[in-house]
Amino acid sequence: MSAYLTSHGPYLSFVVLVALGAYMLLTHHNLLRALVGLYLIQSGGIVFFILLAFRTGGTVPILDEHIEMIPVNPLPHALMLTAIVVGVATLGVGLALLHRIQEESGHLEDDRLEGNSE
Amino acid sequence: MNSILPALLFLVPFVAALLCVFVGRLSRGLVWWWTILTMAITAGLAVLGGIAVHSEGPIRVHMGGWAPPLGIEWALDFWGVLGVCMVAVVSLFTLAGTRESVRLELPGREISFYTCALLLVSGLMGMVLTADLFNLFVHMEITALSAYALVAAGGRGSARVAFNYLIMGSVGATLYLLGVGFLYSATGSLNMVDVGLRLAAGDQTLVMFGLSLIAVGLGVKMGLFPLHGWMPGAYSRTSTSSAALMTPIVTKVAAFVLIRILIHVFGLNVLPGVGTMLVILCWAGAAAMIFGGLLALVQSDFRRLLVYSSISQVGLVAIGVGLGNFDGVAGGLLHLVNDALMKGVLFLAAGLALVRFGVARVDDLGRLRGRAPWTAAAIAIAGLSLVGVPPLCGFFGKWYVLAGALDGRRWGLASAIVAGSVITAIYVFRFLEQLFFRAPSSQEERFEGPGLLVVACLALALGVIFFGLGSGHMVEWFIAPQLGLE
Repeated sequence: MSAYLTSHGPYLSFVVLVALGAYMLLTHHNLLRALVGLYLIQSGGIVFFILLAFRTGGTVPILDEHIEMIPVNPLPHALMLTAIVVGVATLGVGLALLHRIQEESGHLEDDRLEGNSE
Repeated sequence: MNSILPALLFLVPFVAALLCVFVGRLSRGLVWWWTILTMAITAGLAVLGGIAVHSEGPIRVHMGGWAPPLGIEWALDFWGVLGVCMVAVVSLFTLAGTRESVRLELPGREISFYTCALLLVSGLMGMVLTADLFNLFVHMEITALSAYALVAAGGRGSARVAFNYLIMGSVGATLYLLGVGFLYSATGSLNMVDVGLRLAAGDQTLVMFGLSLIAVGLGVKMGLFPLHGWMPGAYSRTSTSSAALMTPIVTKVAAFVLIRILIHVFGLNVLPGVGTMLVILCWAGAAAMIFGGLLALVQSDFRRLLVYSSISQVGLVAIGVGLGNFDGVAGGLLHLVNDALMKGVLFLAAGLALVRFGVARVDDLGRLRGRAPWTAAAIAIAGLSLVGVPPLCGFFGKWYVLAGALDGRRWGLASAIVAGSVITAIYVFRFLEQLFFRAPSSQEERFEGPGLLVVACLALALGVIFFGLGSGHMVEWFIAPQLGLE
């Protein structure tokens, strides 16, 4: 059990983040909560990639021939820098839209029940 | 110049979008000219690229001089030609037609509209051209962020549907990204061709899980039934200018990318699980054709009818790819371009009806009768093509997919295609009847115009005719070579 946890445990954090995000998206009554849920799912994706890069005993991937070391895989890190930027941009656009919805309707409650969502 | 053409196809609209703000500072009236100039150059480059690829084969660019699989590769290949020409030509005409409608619908916001429009086009170009799975994600998001902004550029309620689109679109993109992560962990590569070569050695469970995530993520982006929830609201509540630009091409490019990944990366029937996946895709497509068509039938709003029609036509594309044989895939690719042309015409016409005549409902289309003869002619051509009347392009896409279904002895799918076509005919004749055979409901003095919109509409309608006549060549020149290679 503990061997399983040490090898797969970190991946659980990815599962928890995505599950929480999905739960919030499916059950929210407020649009801001939907945005938070989305952000959790995106963060889950980022954590997933970072975990892919990890190696046991790995360290910062700056090569130096005098020091013997195992670098972690730098590629997923580079990818995630881009993904974080994309995520922040999405968040920004989302917040701008929420601002306009708030101005137009005076609230951020989800009005799907009134049949207005389409 | 040919060697950097793929990069130019992206850079021209992208740089122009950044400069658009400064051009707008000089004079607001200049922005439209700037956009059209850019799009004309892009379309010219796309056609040049098509000629070059036809005579000399695919053009590949290695970004920063790093060779794949380590570096990022962009390729203008045979299918890519269809994709870039579709995006460049259709958006050139739809943007040309939006000059008056943007002025009327989004007064004072011309600069933002055209900046977002050019960004959208550059993102779509990137999606078509890149041969790298992660790079594709980035371009998908460039496209999506501009698309959210364009959907929000409308009247009251457009921000709400844009937010809905943002949530669903971003979840789709994240699923795609996770899928890429699974593939990366199984194969250690991101280059599409390279991933394809390493698949067999990778862990099959990871590969199949990654493939499923990618397919669902792209399914959201292409509005594949039952993941189409964001589409009707987003495209019918926004301004007619945004709808005319986006509806024809955005979902089509996502479908194009799905075809490319399924067939290039995974090959057909190479992996044990892909067959099941294709069967699911086929039946989702069949459901899209029938339910999309039925929902189009009951809409009273003309634009909503057209959006449901788009959902139904993307279903046909999904069936074609899911069949996985030559005819099916060729028909699917052909029908992408067909539907982009047809929906370009119809959404421009719907915009004209709303902006010029105040007509939003199908039942009021009679008011255009006798007053907008050229627009009515364009609607008729696109409508008949949608039904599948032979020399028009819509026929050939359907024919190939149907031939593929019969060839594969998939009787259920073949009958779904026929049923979907009958439903299409019914909803098309519903609006053609209003347009041509109902007495005009009021005596107005307004006449057709603005001229540019009508010209753009007619140009795309001519495209529907010529692309139909040239379908055989398109398959022979640009679709078959690549299917032979895999």
